[in-house]
Amino acid sequence: MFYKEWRTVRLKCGVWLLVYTMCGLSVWFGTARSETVYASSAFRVIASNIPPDTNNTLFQNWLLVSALATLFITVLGGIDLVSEENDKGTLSFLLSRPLSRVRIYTSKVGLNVIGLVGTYGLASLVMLGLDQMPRQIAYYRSDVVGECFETAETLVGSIPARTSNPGEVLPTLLLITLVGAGIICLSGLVSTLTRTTMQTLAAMMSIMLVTSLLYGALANQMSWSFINFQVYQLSPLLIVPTVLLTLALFLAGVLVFKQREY
Amino acid sequence: MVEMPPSDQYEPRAYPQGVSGNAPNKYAIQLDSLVCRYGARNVVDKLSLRVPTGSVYGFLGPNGAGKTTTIKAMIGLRGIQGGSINVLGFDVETEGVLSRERLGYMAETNNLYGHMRVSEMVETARRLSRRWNSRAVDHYLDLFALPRKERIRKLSKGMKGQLALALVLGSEPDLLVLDEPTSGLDPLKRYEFLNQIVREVSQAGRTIFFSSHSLSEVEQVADWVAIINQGRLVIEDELDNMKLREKAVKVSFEQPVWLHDLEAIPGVWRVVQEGRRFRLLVRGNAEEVTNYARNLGARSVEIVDMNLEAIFVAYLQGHRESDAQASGPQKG
Repeated sequence: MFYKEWRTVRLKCGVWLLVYTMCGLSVWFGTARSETVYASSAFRVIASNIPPDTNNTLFQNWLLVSALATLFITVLGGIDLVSEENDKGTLSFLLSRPLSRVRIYTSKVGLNVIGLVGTYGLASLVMLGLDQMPRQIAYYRSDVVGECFETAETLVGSIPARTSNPGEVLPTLLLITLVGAGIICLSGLVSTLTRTTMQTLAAMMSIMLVTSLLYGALANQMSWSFINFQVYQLSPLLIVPTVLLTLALFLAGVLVFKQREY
Repeated sequence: MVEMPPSDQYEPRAYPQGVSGNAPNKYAIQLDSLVCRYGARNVVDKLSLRVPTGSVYGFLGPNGAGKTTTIKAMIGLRGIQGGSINVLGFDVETEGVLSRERLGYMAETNNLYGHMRVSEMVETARRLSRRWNSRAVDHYLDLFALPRKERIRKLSKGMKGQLALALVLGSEPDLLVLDEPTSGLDPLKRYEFLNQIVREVSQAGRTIFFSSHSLSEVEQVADWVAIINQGRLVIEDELDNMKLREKAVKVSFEQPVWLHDLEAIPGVWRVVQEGRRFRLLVRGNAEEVTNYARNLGARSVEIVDMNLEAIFVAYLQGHRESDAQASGPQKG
């Protein structure tokens, strides 16, 4: 069962790794850029209301970007767990083999979660390594020169880049991974309830939209909390409920898959 | 997983007597008052079947009769709402995995992974089976001339069916459940399937349970037949018995004759008027019926053997008429 599922998941893992690589690159260049901008007093207010002393480290920015990426890739990666096989008729091939439905479902969800943990873990490890590397942040000042409002950047100095404390950020990393696993379980549950991948996609998009709307006000508040590092204190508290919710979604998926008629 | 020992030439493994968890079974499949529902509608309605071990069993019925639903319930693809299913001595509801270890199922529609190559699909099937005979698979892949490196989505419908069959046979099942196995096959491959594969498998003492719309094919290979209609059993018997018992007597009269007089002849269970002639469907001694017909003034009397198609049509028409009569008074 793992052999068969791995053939599907390995392609997915490649795509996920590509997405995380792109996120990593954008964070790498984006972080350097933002720190450059902060040095310019002319752009400080425009860039953000964030005081320069609270700006994020490379890894903190990675967590912000990768959390969003994980949300999308797990939704898109999980919708085909069962419904695609049902849609294409291949599910009857699996179900007619001497395998229990619990094993089939667990293999499908489990390998996707392992794929997520593997790709996200690898990408995060690289980003944490980059974050921990001693490096200098150059500060430039932008000056208007000439008559056409052209600007020129002048190097005013450099300081060592701030690095993240692994002990502070790892619970958040774990939390994002668990949320990703939870979304895979939710996608799996939805895909057992629907007949086609398109139905699953529509259902998942609806769930995400409604959740986003309900969550909007709270998310706005959370973003400030995140920036002020309060979220790092909250992460360990959120891990246990997230694990329980993920397990509940997984068990619900198993039960539905066991009872479903194909 | 058990790998079969290699031999110089492939020969189907003989049916292993008494290898199941239970004692050797007289019946490979036993359905008792099976009920399957879609919503409020009973698609399978108190269906009872006995499939003798080692038989080639044709499962017949018109479209929508409940054949595929019954097969899906036997495999464990869907639940049941009443009755019980016993396959190879195992209760499908509680011991489905055990029964599927020794059962091979070929679906009506293609259920193979299109993105895989033939060789990858074979490897996948091997890893998902408890028992595997690579020599058997190679034998059938060669027989069907299936290209091992081709992606399955590029194969024709018939070739996909052949591959599915080769994979089913690769696990050396004691019971083959085939849902419309010859649909999509060209006449030559259909001939090969019926005359070579079915013979090979059945000679090894294994049971073949297959549904088909092609009655001539069923007649060619089956030794047991069941006909269902609207989820209910119409008839189940050995094909030879059925053909010996079911006869048609064609009679014509010079003078007008009352239909109920013909229906009252002992042994006649249905009278069909064909122009000026009558076809009396007889169960039992046809000679006696001819004597009764002559006493009624029949001008010509002829006993005709019924082939499976004629039996099928006669039984279904009779079943529908009796259904209509039963529901008539209720409809008012």
